[in-house]
Amino acid sequence: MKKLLLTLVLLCVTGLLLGGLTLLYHLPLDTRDRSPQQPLPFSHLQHAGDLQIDCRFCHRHAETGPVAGVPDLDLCLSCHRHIATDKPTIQQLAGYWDRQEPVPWVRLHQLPDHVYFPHHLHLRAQVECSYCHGQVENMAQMQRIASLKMGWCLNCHRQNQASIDCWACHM
Amino acid sequence: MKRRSFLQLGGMSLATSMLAGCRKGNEKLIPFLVPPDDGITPGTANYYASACRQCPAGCGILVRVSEGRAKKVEGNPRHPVNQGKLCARGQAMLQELYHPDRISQPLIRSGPRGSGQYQPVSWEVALKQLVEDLSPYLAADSPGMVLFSPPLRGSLATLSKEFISQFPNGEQLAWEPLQPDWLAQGMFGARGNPDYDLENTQYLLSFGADFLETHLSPVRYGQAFGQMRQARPTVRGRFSYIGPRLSMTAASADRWLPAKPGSEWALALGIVRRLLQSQSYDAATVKAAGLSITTIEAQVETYTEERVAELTGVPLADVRTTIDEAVSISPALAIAGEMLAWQSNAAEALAAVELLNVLFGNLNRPGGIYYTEPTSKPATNSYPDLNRLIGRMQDEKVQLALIHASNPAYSLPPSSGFQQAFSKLPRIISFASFLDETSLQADLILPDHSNLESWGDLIPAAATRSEVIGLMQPVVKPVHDTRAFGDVLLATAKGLGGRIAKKLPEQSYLQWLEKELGERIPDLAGADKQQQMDRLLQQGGWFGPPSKPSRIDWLRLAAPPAAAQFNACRGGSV
Repeated sequence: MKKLLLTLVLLCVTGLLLGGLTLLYHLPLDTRDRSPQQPLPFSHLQHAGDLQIDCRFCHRHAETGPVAGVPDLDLCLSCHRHIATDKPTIQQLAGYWDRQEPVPWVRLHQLPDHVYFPHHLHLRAQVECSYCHGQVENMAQMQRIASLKMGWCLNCHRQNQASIDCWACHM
Repeated sequence: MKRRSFLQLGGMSLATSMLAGCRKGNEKLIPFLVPPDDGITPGTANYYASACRQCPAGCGILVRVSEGRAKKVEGNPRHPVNQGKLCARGQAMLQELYHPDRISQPLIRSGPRGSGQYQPVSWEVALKQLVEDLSPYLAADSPGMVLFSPPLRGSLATLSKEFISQFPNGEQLAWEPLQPDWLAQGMFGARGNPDYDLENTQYLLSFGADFLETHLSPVRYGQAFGQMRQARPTVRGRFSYIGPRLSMTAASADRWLPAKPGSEWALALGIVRRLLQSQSYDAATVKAAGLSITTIEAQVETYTEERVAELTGVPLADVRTTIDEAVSISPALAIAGEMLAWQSNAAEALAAVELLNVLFGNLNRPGGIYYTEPTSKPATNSYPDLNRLIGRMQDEKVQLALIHASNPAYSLPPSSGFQQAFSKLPRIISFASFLDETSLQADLILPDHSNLESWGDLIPAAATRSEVIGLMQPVVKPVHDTRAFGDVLLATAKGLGGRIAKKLPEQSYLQWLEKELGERIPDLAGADKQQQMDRLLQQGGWFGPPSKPSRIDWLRLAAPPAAAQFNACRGGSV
């Protein structure tokens, strides 16, 4: 009798544990803000949309390296030392320069350390920026469009007959 | 631990580790204010060649720099000393660079000495203070002052010598516990350090030389040892270690003979005796050295196996087998280490090992010892020099100390009296990067750049069979508000004015370095000096032609040390 009880309890515990783990796997546990407030209200809608500045003017390393890069403060000010200097946000931006402080932008797209995602190789394969980053020229405040989960990556790799070897990304 | 508590703890740690895996909020994305001049591609590293000054061996390094930060240090494959390998000390260079406790700007003592209370000041104030402190010492009747440093080679040696020689009663004391320069004086009276051809030897005897840890260059000899053991298809070199401590090197030996401290030489003489008896010594070398076999025979006659066993305290069977092996296996090589050199009978002990090598016929031949002319001989001081200085400090004849890259308050034993005499000095100025035992006593600290932020030339203390000048270049922008020691000396000379400013007119240490290198490196003599310099920096230094063999001072051996002198340490009571 005691043995039976013990077995049952053990089974219950195992079942609960497995159930819990399955739930953990399927729940959308990414609780990070998809469109967080940035320290300065930089608008892609205005820069990339209205003014049609090329993505690579600011994200300069996209074609040459794995990381596209955010523009350094000096690059922002190369225009904004002269343009729209009377606007309060631009004065805020100039304030960062005066204090010699970098702008602490909030990072939207981040992959785990065990994933290697090279921007330059994807651009070479003529993947549009918008495929992963969405129509940024329509966004006044940036938001994360893609889930950036492994299944999502593999989907695209399969569709485009890119390598789905483990070592392609986990190197 | 009880099973129950184990399960509880295990469950708890499992749960917390799973919780920690959950993603928290968005991270920050911090851009550069102004990108570095040479341009960076985020995610793609740049590699710079430089040199390692963490120990006197002077290995070449390659540093991986990502987004303007040094990330990893490895050996430079083109450097003749370390050939692409690097030891733990060199790998740890990054910890020095980014250490949270590094002194980030000049400090002036504000509390009592040794309390660690300092007032951060600007470089202008600190340099003004240094000039003020040093100016009275330019007078001819001033008290003595001393510059403590490790044995320096190359341009920093000439600069500090030039600087200190401007003070009538100034002196430089170059001493470091790891310095191997006693080897040059202690063995064969050669001018440079020896290069042991471990790779080609078949039987190695180490008399207290921990060549896999600290002796000469652990990286160079670690590789050579591997070659000796495994690189030849039919031969596995054998290795016996004679010395009291089971060091890492001793543990790698086939046989460890734990001889009493100061008695290792007895085994060397035991082998000498047997070599003479069995007529298996190298007659040509003995003749070249001008030694008389009959004299040596008479001197070593008493060193029978039994006596060697009694003197060293090693079991007779082990002594016998070692002597048998050393006499029958050729080429055999004996190397002497710090364990011998730091005893009071060092001269005799080193001469015994030296004599053994002469009988093996080991000079300048494969599997033996190569002595080459050194590219630059460091100004180095011995422990007796240090004792004399401590005496002068106690007599208040020395009033000011400048401390560069050394920590004598830690590395000297309190019985030397250094710590006490040092703490009473009226003025102590340090160039340390950290608050250590010595710099805690300092009145003024002017922090030096770290290895990876400095310009410099590094001539390896570990000898190579070709001429080498390793070059150091800054691979990152200085992390803190520090200044290179050489720059501080030049700025001080300028501040002091007069004769010393005329002697040291260079604006920066880099200028001094380029001037010095131009004199020493033939490649830099031409008109394309800048391109050549860039090339040398890119490859990590100047790797010149094979060195000339060094002159050997045979006179030292002409009269072999009398056996009676060795008796001074009978029973290991040194």
